[in-house]
Amino acid sequence: MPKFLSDEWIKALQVDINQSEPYARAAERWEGDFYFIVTPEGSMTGPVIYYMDLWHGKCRQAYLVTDESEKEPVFRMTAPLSVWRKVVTKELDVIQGLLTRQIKLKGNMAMIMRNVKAAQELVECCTHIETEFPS
Amino acid sequence: MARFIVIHNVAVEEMSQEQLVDLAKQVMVRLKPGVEWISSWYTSEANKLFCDWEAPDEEAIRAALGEALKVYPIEAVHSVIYVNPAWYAEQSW
Repeated sequence: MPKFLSDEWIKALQVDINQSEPYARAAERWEGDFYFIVTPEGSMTGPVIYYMDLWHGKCRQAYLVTDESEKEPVFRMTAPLSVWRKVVTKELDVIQGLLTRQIKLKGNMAMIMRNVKAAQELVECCTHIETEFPS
Repeated sequence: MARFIVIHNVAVEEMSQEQLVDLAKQVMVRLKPGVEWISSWYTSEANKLFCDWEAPDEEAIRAALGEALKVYPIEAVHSVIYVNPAWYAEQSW
């Protein structure tokens, strides 16, 4: 079972996204890469940054980044571990998280809003991965 | 109190999370007694917002919206009647 915050987990998500027809349909026009930043809580010693390059319904790259300056993604979503856990397990709708600033966004919010379905399908892919969460 | 559905065009191509959330919070601050923003639905297909309000009249809603009208100009305001399907599930009448 992949551990959340590991490179293995984001790679598993990449595989799932690239097999998802609903995601491919919903995100067929999407062009834009992301940092998903998990700020530390509990046993975490520092932030964890996932990079994802999402392009026309596929995930071209996904990996753990050690240095935030490594990439200049179009979007950065930042939230503490507990919030990401709720998103990944569908306890918290990602759009609700953004509209209430539980998840901080750097980037064009209007573009995210116009692609709500893609965001929801991406979260759906997350739920397919059996995940071990850190304490 | 009257109920309204207000349809907005989302006029902006670019907007930060801060701007969006701040506009919504400002609307909440401007609400006068008797004016309630009940819910909103956004459709990305048409880039429109459908908002459910309770208010004495349309002007009260416009006053509450204030600056938000620049970002979400009103396309139409409909005075509506609320219908709850649960009414028809009840067998007591």
